[in-house]
Amino acid sequence: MAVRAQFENSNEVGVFAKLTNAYCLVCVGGSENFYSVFEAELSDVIPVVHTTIAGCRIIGRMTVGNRNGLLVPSTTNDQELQHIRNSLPDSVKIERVEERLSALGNVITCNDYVALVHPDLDRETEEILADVLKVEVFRQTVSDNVLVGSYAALSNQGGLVHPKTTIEDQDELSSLLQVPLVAGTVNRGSDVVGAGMVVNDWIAFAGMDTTSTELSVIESVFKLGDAPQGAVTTAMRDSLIDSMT
Amino acid sequence: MASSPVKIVSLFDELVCKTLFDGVKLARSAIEDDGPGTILPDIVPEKSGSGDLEEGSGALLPKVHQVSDRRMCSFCDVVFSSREEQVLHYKLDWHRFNLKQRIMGAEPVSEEKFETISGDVSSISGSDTEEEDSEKATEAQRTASPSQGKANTSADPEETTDTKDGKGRRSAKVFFKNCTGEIFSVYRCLLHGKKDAPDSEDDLVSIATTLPTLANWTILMIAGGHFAGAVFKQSELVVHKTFHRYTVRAKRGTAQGLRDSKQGSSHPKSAGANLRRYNEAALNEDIRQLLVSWSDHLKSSHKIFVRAPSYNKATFFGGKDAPLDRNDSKVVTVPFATRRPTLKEVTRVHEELATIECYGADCKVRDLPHKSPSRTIPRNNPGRESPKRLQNARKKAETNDAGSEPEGKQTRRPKSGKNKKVGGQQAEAMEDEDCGRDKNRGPKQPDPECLGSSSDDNQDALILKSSLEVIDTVATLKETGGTKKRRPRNRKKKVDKEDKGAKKVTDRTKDTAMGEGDARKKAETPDIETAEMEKEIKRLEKELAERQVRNALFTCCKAGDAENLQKLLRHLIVSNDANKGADLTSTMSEQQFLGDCANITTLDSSLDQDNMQSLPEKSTSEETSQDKATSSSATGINTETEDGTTLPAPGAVCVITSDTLVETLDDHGSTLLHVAARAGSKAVINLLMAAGADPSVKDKKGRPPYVVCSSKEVRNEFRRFMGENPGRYDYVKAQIPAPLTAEMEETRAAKQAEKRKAQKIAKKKRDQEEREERMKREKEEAEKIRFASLSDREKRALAAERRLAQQGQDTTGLSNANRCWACGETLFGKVPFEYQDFKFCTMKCLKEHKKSTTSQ
Repeated sequence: MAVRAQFENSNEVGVFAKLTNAYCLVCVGGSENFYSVFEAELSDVIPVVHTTIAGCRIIGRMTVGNRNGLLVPSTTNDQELQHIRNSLPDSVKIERVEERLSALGNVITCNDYVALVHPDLDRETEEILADVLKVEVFRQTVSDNVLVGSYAALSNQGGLVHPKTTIEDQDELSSLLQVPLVAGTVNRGSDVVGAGMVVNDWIAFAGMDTTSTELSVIESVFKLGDAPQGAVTTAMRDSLIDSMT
Repeated sequence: MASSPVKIVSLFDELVCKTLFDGVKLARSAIEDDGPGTILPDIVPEKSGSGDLEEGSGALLPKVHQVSDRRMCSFCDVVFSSREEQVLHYKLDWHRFNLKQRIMGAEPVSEEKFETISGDVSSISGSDTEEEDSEKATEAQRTASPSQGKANTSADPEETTDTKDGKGRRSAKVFFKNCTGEIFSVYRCLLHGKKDAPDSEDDLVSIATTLPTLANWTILMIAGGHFAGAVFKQSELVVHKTFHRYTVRAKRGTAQGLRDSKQGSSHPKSAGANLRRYNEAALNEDIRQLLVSWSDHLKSSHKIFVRAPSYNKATFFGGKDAPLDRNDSKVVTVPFATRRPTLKEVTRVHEELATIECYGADCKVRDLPHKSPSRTIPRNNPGRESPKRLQNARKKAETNDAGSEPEGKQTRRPKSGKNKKVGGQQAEAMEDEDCGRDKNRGPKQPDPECLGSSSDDNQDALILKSSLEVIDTVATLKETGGTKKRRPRNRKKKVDKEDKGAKKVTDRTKDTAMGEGDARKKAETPDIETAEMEKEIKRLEKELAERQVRNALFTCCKAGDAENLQKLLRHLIVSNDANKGADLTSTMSEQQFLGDCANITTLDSSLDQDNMQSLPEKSTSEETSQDKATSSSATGINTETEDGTTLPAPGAVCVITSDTLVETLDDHGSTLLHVAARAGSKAVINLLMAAGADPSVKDKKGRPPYVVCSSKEVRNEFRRFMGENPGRYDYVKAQIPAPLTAEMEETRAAKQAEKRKAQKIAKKKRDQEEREERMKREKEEAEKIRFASLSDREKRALAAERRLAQQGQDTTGLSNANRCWACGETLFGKVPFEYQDFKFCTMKCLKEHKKSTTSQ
């Protein structure tokens, strides 16, 4: 299922929220509308947590995580870190990383198994990433953009990349990430797909401007829509059962 | 250069080498038979192209989203057969490098190329600088090899064949010719070391044929705190190591140890210097340890190539347990210039050494380039170069001088005396020297305006020659700022040996100024009349004499040479009087005076450096003032002496007397008195002040001489003078606080003696007290030791004694405390029986007391 949402008149859902298979982070806003959209869809399954990172609301761009863990930048203060620790399941490891490229969400995109990272990312961060999120890390660009986190949205089911990614690059990335990829847009033609939407294995949130065509592409590549009933017991099983423990 | 392009073959290319070394003999320029020129089969190794990328490219994107199976990296242009391979690839530095290349818009590099690039870059981190460095390095590498071949073509090809006689420098390369007539060259150092050159050509050839098989090399390089070493087995790198320590200060660039050794005893004590010193030692230690651990490798190596600047040679060859033996035939130096020791550089050196250059069959050895090692790197160090340059200039001047003598004969002879002729001639010679020094101008042309002709007199020529030498030394001194000490002194000695030493020295100084002045003058106005010239000469002579005197005075003040100064001043005063009085010219005193001057100026050369530097400074600053001063008193000064040679007239001397003593000498505005005060020679100060040197003249910083004094004693000298001559100078202005008379000094001395006496007594007392204290302490210590060494029984006995003694005292005070509770008997000296707090003399008393109390 793909849902439209809006954060205080902004369509960049991926900026203000972080969605994984094990938890969802939503920023603290003026109104609860944005939060309640997530709450309505997710509250039965995973925790939806209100938070800020270093007092900022752009938590989606500052953090990176999957069901195994969450990395926050060094600017995160102790209170926020404690709050996140308290709110997330114990299985999720939380780590603060000293990285020059502090907008981790922009420079890293990952699912539960693989991560694409900015070519200039620190080796140390790469190691932490591999340890905490339990992913294989690949330094790569998305259609020659180093900000892989901004230009790609990734789940265990599939991925949406920058609309100008060539077929060859898509193939290469797809073989690397072991998920099917599609070049597409969100929010009525926006190419910052990573920042324009959030996705996990069973639900995606995109901006209010997202056209139905875009939504249908999202649903198809992330296998969200009319997935056969059996998928729950086969393809989605891992993530669902793990996340509910 | 050979017309055919040079082919580069590696020594480790077995097949090619085999054919190349077939029927090899030494190629000589003498035997140039034009055999059929067969060209070697093409030896460029085929590089296996990158695999085809065709698989799976034709597949259409399916409607249903699927995971692609095109495992490839488009950046690095590789295809992977398995997932593992793919995952591994993304961890490689090569991939990261190519990724960055792509981002920067540069071409990706192949894996092999990357290996060479990244030789010494251990990891590619996030920063771009390293990457750029390596990029530059590769470019440099690319350009280096062709230029090297071109650069050194000057070596004499004949030397190639002169292997048998050890004379001269051998060419760095040895040229061979094989049975097909192909001429090729290898580095000589591969065949033999410097000392063990084979006797016959056959030996050389036999060594050469074994070359490809005996090619286990070790290369060690050290420079500027960097060390790189590698052991190669044929072409493959077996083991390598690089170190770097901070030993060379940035920008100045000398290794600390080298600098320390240069400076004699004064070593820099800065933290950085210590750090570098430590690092030097540590680097040496590191290298030694490494080489010890490599001893097996070193043993099995056929050649050990060492590249170390002479300073670093000790690391390898010095000390008791030197890692390498200097006389080992295996140890050879790298015969070409190398860059900073890195692994990359070592591998480059290895490659370079292993190259065989094939020139084809139809070329002459004579034409072939010789890569002679360029060992000396020219430096732009004027301090070092100048002496050589000057020497050349002098030679040139001398030869020119000899050549110009006959020319001089043709020129007209003016009316003036011989002395002036000599001067003129010398002026010309001086100009010659200027020519030589400039080097811009060509060899000297005969100048019709040249004044004065040289006489036929041999003596004059001799004088001229010797004075020229002196000129040169002066010029050298001026340019090098006094770094050359030995030569000037020798020259001076030579001059002194001749009986007219004094005169010549004056001539010398005359020349220096005159040469400059004259040359300038000549350049401006080519036609001047003889009279004017003479005037000019007189003026210059006078100037010279003045400068001479100034130099002498300065030297005396600086060196604290009161004796000479006194002589000088006496002369000055005498000549002054003479000038004022009548036509009385005391030739004797003049001679003597100038002799003194000469003696003193010989002192110049042996004086320390700063003195030397200040001398020319002074003279230049004075020159302008002299022009003014001399114009007023130019007439009637010059005199001719009996022997017909010119000496500076006494008048010239007296011109400076009173002024010179208060004249500023250098940039700081110091007078002679300042110099003397700084130097701290009391006698000189007194003399100067007595002669009229005003202590109230201040330097540019507004300090009178009194203030710049080096010590109190020197200051007292000023005060003493004030006491002796109360009204002579403005002492307030001179900042001399109070006069110091003999009386005052006496009283002060007396006071001080008294004080000292009192101090002495006090000290004695203090010593006494201290001694007593010490004795007391010692006693106590001894007691302590004695008691400690006693046995327990003795100690107890002692304690008992003490107790008894105390009790004895108590009895005198009739205390009741120690009496039997029942019968009142004293308990002194007894061990009482007691129960509760009661004490008794006997058991009986105790029982009674107990009974009585219980019954109650």
